[in-house]
Amino acid sequence: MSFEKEYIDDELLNNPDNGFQVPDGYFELLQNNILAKTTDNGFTVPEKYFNTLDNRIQQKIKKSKVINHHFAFKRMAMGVAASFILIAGFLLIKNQLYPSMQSHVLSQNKLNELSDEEIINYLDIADLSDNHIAESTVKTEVKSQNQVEDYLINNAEEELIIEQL
Amino acid sequence: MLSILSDDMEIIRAFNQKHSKTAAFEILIDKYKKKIYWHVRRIVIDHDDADDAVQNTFIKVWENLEQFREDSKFYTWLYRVATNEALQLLKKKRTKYLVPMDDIDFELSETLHAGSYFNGNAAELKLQTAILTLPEKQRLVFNMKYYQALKYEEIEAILGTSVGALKASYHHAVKKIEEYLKHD
Repeated sequence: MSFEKEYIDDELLNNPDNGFQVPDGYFELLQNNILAKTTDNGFTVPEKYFNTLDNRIQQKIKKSKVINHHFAFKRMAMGVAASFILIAGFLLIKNQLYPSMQSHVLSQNKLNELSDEEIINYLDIADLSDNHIAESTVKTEVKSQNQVEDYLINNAEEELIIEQL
Repeated sequence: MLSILSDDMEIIRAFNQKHSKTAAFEILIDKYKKKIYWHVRRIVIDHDDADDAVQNTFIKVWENLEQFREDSKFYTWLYRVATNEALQLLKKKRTKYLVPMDDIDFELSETLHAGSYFNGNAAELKLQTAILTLPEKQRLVFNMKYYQALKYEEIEAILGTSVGALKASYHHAVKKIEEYLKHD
């Protein structure tokens, strides 16, 4: 007698599934499920697509490296140009807003070229008020009382000093 | 010597060394190109779009792999990059052709039916059309679980969605597809 016939119930022996059950339609779906995970499900690719993919990716990376270097240089050049324009613009605006200092230096140089007689003759002809002359006068360094006395003593004629007393 | 490297971390270490960077990168492409291609192809449907997404994915890998930290698995990071590239591509298409959000799936379905690089039988066409009726993220979950047999924990790392939400999403996706196949 075989092992099965001696120890196992006949009913169980005759049941090929041995009590195990499967969901309805399981085996019909099983083939589809396996095929779904092992095939491309209808999707196709051009011939030799995967063989050439590596090369195309490497080419694209090389191309993007060259473009990046080119753009980096361009950006730097534009940055330098922009800095120059900003500095030039600043200087232009500064000169337009604050011209007096520059024109003052220019006028001072021109005056130095003229003789005292020419200046006096001009002042006689020009109808300038005292205020105008005062405003146009270069502001001199304020000297102390001692410095003024020293100057008068060393430079002014005695008679002129006496006249002013 | 490099060709025998199979462990991703070993390949990445080789990538981080100047003399073996290119060779290591070639190994990575060879190892993952098909998986990544089919992953993005199922998102974008069109072969040319999939080709663009795959190339852009590996270019991003080349540019960013040095910053990759070993706190996550390389292939989940790779899948995340590929998924984002594919979704960005679809988003650009919507913007370029002024296609409303809902209609992009109709456009993808049209591409499928146009037969360009698709030679499946009627049943396969019907199944793919059914999958395209799913919302974008649900479609991603379904494809990754059903076709690529990724674990929920792996999909969680890729999409940033909890395992519970993923299980629910997959369950609903299967039900919707079954309904579509029964009634359409």
